[in-house]
Amino acid sequence: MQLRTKITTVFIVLTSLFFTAIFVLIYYVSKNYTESEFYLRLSQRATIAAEAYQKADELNIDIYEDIRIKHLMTLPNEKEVIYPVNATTKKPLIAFDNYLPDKFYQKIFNDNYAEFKKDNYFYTGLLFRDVEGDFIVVLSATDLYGFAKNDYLRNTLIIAFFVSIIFIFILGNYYAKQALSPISRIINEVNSIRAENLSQRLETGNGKDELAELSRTFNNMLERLQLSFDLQSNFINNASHELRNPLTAILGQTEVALDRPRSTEEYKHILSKIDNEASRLNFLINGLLKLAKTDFDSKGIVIDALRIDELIMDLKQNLDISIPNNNIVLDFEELPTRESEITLMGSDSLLRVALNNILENACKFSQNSQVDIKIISDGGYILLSVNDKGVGIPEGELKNIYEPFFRASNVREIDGFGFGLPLAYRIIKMHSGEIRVISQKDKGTLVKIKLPNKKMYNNLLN
Amino acid sequence: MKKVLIPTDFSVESLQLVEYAIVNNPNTDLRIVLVAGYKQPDNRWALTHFIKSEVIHKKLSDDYIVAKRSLMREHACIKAISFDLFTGKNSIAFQNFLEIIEIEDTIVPKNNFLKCDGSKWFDITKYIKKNAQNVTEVLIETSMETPHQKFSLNNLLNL
Repeated sequence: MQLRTKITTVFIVLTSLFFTAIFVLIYYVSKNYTESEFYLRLSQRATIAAEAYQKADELNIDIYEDIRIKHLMTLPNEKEVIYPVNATTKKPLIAFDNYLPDKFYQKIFNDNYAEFKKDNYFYTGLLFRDVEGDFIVVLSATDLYGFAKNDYLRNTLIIAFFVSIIFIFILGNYYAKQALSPISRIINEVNSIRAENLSQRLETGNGKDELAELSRTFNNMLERLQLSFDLQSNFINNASHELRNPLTAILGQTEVALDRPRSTEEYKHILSKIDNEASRLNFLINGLLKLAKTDFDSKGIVIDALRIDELIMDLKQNLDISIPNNNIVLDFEELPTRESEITLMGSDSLLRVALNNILENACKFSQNSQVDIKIISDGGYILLSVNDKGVGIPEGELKNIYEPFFRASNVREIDGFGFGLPLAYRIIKMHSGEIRVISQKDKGTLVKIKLPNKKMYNNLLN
Repeated sequence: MKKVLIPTDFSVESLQLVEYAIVNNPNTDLRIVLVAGYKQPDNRWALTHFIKSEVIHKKLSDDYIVAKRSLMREHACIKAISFDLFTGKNSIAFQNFLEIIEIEDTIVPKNNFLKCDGSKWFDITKYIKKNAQNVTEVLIETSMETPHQKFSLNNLLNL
């Protein structure tokens, strides 16, 4: 069954039940009120009849009866019977009509008043105590108007019920269609996304309801997928580029060597150059193999628990070798004492690449002036800030810094490929983190990284 | 120690301006004064019960407080972050306000970044640009989506 039909059906069943209960209640309340009103009129008529009976000696009973029938409205099929009784012994002086049950008469004796309904007839009995002898007046009539009114109400309610069900069905169906239309849209949009257009994102609408949440979840998933795709394709691009460079150099050198006969010195010189390039190639291939073994294995990225402070200190040691005159100042003053707060889940080698790129950039673009690194932990996240006093990024170019191979206009003379920050950005995003760059030209750059700690990472996964 | 005035709309995003103050003033201890524009109540009863700190306190969200705390912990150069309200209506009032709080530097967004919704709150950026000395304008990219048609019936029916 389609979800739309299911929602409509459930909606209709629930509303029908509700309406049935309400309409039945309305009908019974109205019916009871009509009946009680009719009993009241019956008892009023019975009182008049009793008075006529009591004053039969003093009045001209025929005239009285005539007035009563002509001018005081008679009830349909009205019939009165007066039984002389002894109220003390609760016995009739003449026999009661057998048509009515004994308990009706007993109730009259006990309560001075009783009501009874049989078929379409309503009966009211009243006990009157009189010096000339007690008597019971039993008055019966049919409530033709009341019955007609009740029937009319019942029919109206039945028609109203069916009409409202039809309306509810139409509206419910329309609303269910409207409510589920974003899902159909999401399905269509997700279906249209292929490897070629992974950058496409789903519309999130006003961004507050569950469906917007679903779209956002899809978008997040797409972002992660795109990141993996980009990483892989850029990785291949860069790897090929890096591999080709030494190979071209080797080929060039061999071509020069074979061009004409040369002296031993010249051959030695050329061979040492070839050796250099071959060593570079060897280093690259070894690096690639290592990366392939650790990360891009068949199971995907290897996730380990890492201590951020240890990672940073390790990177600092490596940087001390590669950039000996760096001026990195680590500030671990606010470092939490609990290990769990500074432990994060992630790929060691990828995070190393990301953080190394950021630290290297900070040193490189600040001519090795002071670079402050601070780590704090707050609300399930590890916050890392890297502040340099370097050349900064021109403000119009800040939005492009995560584009691969983009280089800011004021750093053209500094070596680089424009690949460090985009890679770092993607790696941080892969780890459900955030990276922000605040920069002022010629003043410096502040890089802020927010990564979930181990506990938060597990919460995010669930 | 340098006293820096920064306009705010009490959103976490607006605290980015504080980060720009840090980058702009390397190796300097900072006292940040976050200022928002607030229209003073126009009846006597409300005016006599108007307390700046109370108004500010009500406006501070939990996220904002957490972000402010993190910011202070992350940057030792920030010695204090305080709040103030500008309740005036013109440039002269703002100049007086600047004189009282003794500001040395100001950081303002270049684009229309601060969102001061409601009839009571207003953005003081234009007053700062017009009257303050040492104004640094910074371009901030906003990533937050602004919800539109917030209360429309169409929105409700379309879920």
